[in-house]
Amino acid sequence: MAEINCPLCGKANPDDFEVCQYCQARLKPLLAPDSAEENSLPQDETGVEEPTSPAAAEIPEWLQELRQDEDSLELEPERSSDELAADISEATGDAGSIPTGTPDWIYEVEQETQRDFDHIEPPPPSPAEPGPEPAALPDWLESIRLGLHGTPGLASSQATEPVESTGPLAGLRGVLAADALISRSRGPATRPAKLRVSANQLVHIDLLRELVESEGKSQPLPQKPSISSEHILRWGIALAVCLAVVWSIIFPGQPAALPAFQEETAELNRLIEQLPDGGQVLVAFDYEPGEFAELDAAASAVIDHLMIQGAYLTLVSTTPLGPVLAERFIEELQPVHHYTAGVQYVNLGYIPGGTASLVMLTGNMPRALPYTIEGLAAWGSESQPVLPPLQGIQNVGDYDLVMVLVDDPDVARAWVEQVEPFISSSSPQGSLGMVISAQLEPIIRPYYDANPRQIHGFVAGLRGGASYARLNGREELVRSYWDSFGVGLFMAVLLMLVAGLMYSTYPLLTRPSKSDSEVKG
Amino acid sequence: MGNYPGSLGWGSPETGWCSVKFPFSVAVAIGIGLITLAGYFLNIPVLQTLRMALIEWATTLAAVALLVGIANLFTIHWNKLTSGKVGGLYSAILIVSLVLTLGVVGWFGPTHTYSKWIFNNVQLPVEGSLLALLAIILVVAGVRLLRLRSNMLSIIFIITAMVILLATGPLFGISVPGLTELRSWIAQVPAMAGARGLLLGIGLGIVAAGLRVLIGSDRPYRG
Amino acid sequence: MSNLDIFGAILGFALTLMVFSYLIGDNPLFRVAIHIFIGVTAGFVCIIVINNVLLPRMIVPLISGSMEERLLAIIPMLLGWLLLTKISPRLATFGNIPVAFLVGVAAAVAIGGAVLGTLFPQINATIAIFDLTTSRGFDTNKGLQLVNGIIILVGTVTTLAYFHFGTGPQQANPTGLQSLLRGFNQVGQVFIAITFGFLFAGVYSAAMVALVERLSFIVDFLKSVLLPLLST
Repeated sequence: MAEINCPLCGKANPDDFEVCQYCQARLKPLLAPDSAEENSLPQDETGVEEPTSPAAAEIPEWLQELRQDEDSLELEPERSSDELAADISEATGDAGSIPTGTPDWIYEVEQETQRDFDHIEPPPPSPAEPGPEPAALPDWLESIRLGLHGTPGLASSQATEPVESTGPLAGLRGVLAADALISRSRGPATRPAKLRVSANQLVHIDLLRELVESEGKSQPLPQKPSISSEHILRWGIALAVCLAVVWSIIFPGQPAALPAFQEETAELNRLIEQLPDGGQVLVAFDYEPGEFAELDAAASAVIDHLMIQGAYLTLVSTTPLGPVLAERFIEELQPVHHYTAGVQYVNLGYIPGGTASLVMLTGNMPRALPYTIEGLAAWGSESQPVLPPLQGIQNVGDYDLVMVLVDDPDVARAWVEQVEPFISSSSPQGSLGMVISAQLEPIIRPYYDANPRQIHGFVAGLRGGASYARLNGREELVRSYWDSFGVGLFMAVLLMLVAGLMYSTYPLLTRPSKSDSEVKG
Repeated sequence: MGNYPGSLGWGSPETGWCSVKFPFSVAVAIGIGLITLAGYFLNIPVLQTLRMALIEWATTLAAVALLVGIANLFTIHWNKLTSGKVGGLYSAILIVSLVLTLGVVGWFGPTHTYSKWIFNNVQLPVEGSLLALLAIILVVAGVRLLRLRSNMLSIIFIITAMVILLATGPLFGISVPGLTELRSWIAQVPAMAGARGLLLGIGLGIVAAGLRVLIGSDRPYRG
Repeated sequence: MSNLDIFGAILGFALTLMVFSYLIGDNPLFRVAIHIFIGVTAGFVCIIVINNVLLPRMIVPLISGSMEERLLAIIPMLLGWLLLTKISPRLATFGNIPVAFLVGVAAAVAIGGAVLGTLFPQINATIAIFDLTTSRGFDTNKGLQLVNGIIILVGTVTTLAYFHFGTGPQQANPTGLQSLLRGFNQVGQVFIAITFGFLFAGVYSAAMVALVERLSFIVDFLKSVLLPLLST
């Protein structure tokens, strides 16, 4: 059986097939109609004539000749499409018009079709019916069309496009170059867009741009004014308070009465009054040198009372500068009693460790503080006996009274937590008293008000010291501060009151009235 | 066994042992802390003796820590002085003061006249003046409080402060009826109630923080 | 008055004015005064620590103590040497052991003190207020004692509640319990405001005494300097 090669895939098919069995391409061209009417394309939906069976149709001579030529061509060695095109062009005399690679039967069909169409004259336009007006494209569509390609139409560019030379589409124009497409992967063409941006958005855009541009650049710090309202406020208050206090120092006036004693002050007074002759008292100087004015004034009457009672004093401190403060206190504030170191009092110095050091006082005091601040063996040695203030003392529970002079709430709390339970459990007459700074009164009072009491009496600040001094008549140091102290407190209250009235009435005075706001509105 | 100095690694996952790294310092903190804490609640003589010894060593170490701090202070200011940085003059003043004081107090003793002279004429005036400045600054703060934050709590705060201040001082000898009793009532009832709540809160916080250290959850000593 | 005392008074006067100059603003005079103060304080602390602690506890037992005292002194000495390594950044890791020692002891001491010295007694004290059989000097009237006791109890509980429940973020639609807690917090804030107002007054009182003392010193110094000049 004779075979025919598929023009598309090139595979051999039986001669009687109309379409290739591999790729469904037509093996035999559609038959051209004989008349003009038959030449017009059928107006069915697909626009394709239905093929007729070869047996029924009469095979034209040219097709027969073509098949014979194909048969003869198969016997020849395979020739390139260029050589074939050259042969065909020689045969037809139209060398430049045959697209390379186009099967000659297609070319023949095209030629015959063109010759048939040449006989057909286009119908003249009907004068009564004006031709259709060219479509008026909207501006945006025209701009897209122009913008995409830059040329007015697609069809006119076809003539300039190259003819495909290889592959199944050989001979056709307008074939997309696969290589170019693959190698040149471009994204979709950008289209110029014109957004509608409001004025507010433009301002924000400028701000954002400035922020981004200023990133990494150092900005100069704003210059602070040399004299601001805060400075003036501070100077004014300082001047008012200092002038008032200095005035009261230079021109004292009538001395004000000392305050009456409070319950806690009276309790401390009672504890000291009940000390036995030669009673032993541990006095802890646990305040900072900066508080020397207040604590000296508050404690002077208390220590004076202890010395009047003839108590032996043991001085300790859990702050490094406490021993020096203690020495200064005894020598400068209580010279009248002539207390001598090593005889009536002993200064055991500094015990480090904060809260842990207080635990040591409850354990073994000779081990905790073996020497005095002067370097003498406090607890006795081969050459000297135990110093009188320390006789019979092994720990803090052996004292008749423990007196703590303190300005720090944490230190005061540590004494209560670590020492007081030991005192209460070891000795029924043991007591803990305190001379505290005024700022500690709210913190210490819960310990005083406990049941049973954890602090058995205390003196708080200059006011407490003044009430204690009033009890035993030793008023000198307190008197030197008391009146000026009152002036200073009054000035503070006055300034805060004036400021409060001013700031509360200022918004009312500066608030815009209704008529003004209505006019502006 | 460990991967870095001061650590004890207990085996590895391959051998099946516990692979948690347990630094030695953590073991020291927990062990020492538990022994000390047990001494508060258990009255066993051996435990009490051991607890006292540990506390004694801790207080000695605290004194060494003070010296370490002073040495660090000296080193920083010496470096600032020798490197010519800004503030080198102030560092020189500090070092000169430190060396002079070390010499005088170290040679004569802390209770000698010369040592007391330094203490009375340098230490006390400067510290006393710093605290005196606080009086001015507190008044300024009270005035600014009313300007910046005038809510109910601030008003209660300021009114309480003013009542206490007026009742604390002599007030030019004028006796305002009921002012002293009001001060006493504020001190013994509402202020004490708030302070007691504060103390309880502080106590609970201390217990929580301390337990975190004793179980090794918090390790402030790793630096 | 000796020359040393006069020079001391002049030095004290100058230092006082230098510190007070801070009211104008931070200035070199104030900084000089502060640096002198820090140097003097450090010198005092150093000598007192060496004389009062290290010599009697570490050096003297090692030199002249018994065998037991020497053995007991070696451990803090070793720990002290390890602590000194904290000065060097390279060797600072070895100082972690003595620091851990200190932290462990401090934590235990703090816990023991807080539980036995504050928590139990203060809770007991809050309850004991309602024991009307005991007389407290201020509240001789039992009814007034009961009212005050209720105020103290409410204040204590609400203050504690504020610190533990009141510092978190507030929800927009609170439940019943949250509304109750919010009410507690607000009452607690009132008590805290009163307490802090009292504290503020106390701090100001202490500072005012220091100001009076310093101004008195300045006035006395000027009187002692100016009066002789005026008399001549």
